[in-house]
Amino acid sequence: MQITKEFRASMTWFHTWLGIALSGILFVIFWMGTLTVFHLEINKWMMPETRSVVSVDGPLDPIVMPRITEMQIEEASNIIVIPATERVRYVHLRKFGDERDAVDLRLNPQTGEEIVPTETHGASGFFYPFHYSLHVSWKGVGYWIVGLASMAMLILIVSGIFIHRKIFQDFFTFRPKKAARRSTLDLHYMTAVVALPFHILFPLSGVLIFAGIYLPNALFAGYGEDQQAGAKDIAGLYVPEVIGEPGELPTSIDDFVIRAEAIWGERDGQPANADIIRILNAGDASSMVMVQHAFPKRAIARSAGNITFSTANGEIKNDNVPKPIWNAANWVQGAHFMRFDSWAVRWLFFFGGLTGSAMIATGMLFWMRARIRKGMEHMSVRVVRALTIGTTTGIMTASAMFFVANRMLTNEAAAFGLGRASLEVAAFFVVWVVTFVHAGIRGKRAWKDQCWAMASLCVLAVALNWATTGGHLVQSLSLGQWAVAGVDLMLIATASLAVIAALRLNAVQAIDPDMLHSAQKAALPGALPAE
Amino acid sequence: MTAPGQHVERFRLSPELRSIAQRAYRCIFALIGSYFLTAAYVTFGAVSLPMFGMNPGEAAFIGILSGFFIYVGAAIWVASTKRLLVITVIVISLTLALRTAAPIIYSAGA
Repeated sequence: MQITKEFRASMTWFHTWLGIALSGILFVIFWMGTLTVFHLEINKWMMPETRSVVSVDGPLDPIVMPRITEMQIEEASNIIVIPATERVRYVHLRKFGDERDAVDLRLNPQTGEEIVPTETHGASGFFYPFHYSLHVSWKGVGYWIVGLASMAMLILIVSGIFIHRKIFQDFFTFRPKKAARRSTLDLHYMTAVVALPFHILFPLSGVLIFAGIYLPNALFAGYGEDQQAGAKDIAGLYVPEVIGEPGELPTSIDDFVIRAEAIWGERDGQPANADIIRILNAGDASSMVMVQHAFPKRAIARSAGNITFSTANGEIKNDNVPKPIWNAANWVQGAHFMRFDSWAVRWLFFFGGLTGSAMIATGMLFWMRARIRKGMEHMSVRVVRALTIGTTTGIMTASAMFFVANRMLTNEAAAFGLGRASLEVAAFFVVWVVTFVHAGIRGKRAWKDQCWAMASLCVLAVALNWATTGGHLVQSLSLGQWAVAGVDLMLIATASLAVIAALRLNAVQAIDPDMLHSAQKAALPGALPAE
Repeated sequence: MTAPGQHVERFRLSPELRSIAQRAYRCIFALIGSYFLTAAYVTFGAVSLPMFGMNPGEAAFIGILSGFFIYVGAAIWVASTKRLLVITVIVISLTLALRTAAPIIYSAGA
């Protein structure tokens, strides 16, 4: 099949239009996704009470069983225990229910003492859901927007590949000293090609994770009325039906964990860890304990392995071994969740996310510069520019503000009927809205302004962390608090890059003919380099 | 009433606006139309593959994975084919056909 000129032309406009329409949302998704790679580390930074370095090995029973027996369990409740790991050094115990009944405890894995963290959504409660739902919960619209944008990303990649004639050459081409428009396009090509597998993997795996939302009828179509059989078959979950008669609570969790880990170890030929323990229908005669092996340490693929035991007699009710085809799904999903042990791969994924963000931003920039060059500085360009600035440097500045608010607000902070955690979120959104308005007013100068604002906020966040916790960089490093030191270092690196960008923008805006109107261009004969 | 001989001024979009409207329609139809076509295709696959002895969950997963190709292929096709009306009719007809066939096949298999 030959790619005709007409086909390439249609792909060019399609790529441009779809890109302009959705690149703002795509940048937000990519940026939040990039931050989410280290959401557990950012949580530690935002909740200083959870920073202590304690050993995470040890039995669960002395830590959680006294708390579980203390719980008010009136009807079949679901309790979840997440053991401490190297990345999250506390045991998380939760009981689901309404506000009165719900329990959410973080416990020291050595002493069982409750850890009361700073009231914040942290990265797991704010950046993470922002990444997949944009915090638009109404009728699940946020999920659909993200899903649509993800599929559009795949289309953009494929159409982008069709547009390219010399994809291999683009990999090695970056001419930073050429005109800003040319170097922006080079950077767009380079970031697109250099991390192409990531750009395909991220949206594809993201859509696959939420296939149940995007294709609800399709997923369970083969099961007809028996949706429960579908849930068991696809997710490997065993859901016991409530009997309505009182039942005993388990006397030990460790017994079930040891048995499950032994079964997995024998089956897989290597040690396997229990990642989540669920007490299903606690307090009811139907109660079961489900032990899940969700995130293998030495593999990218997540695991759907889980074993369900009867609480009453310890009998195995379900031992889910994923079917071969689901191993493919588990690999794709595991690559997106990034809960594996390898820090090298995690950093690789982080840079993959950054590269994706850069690709989207440079695409938007190129579109604007191309129009400005043609002397089309009219309303559409101004609107797109304001939206571009707001969705790129704007959201980065707002994210920096989220860090600042986290360290600036006191534990008792409350205002406008909002608690501390909500005030942090409010600070983020207020700054984000302000960046759009600012971009609308200041035009191209807003890039530079917002880079300076971002740099200042990042430095302020590091300083506030030091001032409020005493944990400066040297101390974090000497105490082995790598997560805290890492976040501080990333904030400093972001500030440095923002300063470099601001200084460069300053220089570019002073001399770049792309930024000038055609009338001004006439006064600069020969200023445009030949292309 | 129009007097005899008087020309009726028909409302017509300027070529530029018409081009913009067509492209916007293509983009939206490529995104949304391809989604409905893919959803119908995956549903069809999920109910028809078990008839050949495949597990329904595996059939759904294979349908979803191949659905990515269907989606991207359909979107690219919508964007690159000249006749807008023809592709609209084809995509909608295929979607409806697959949606209608899926429950019939499921009933036959059950």
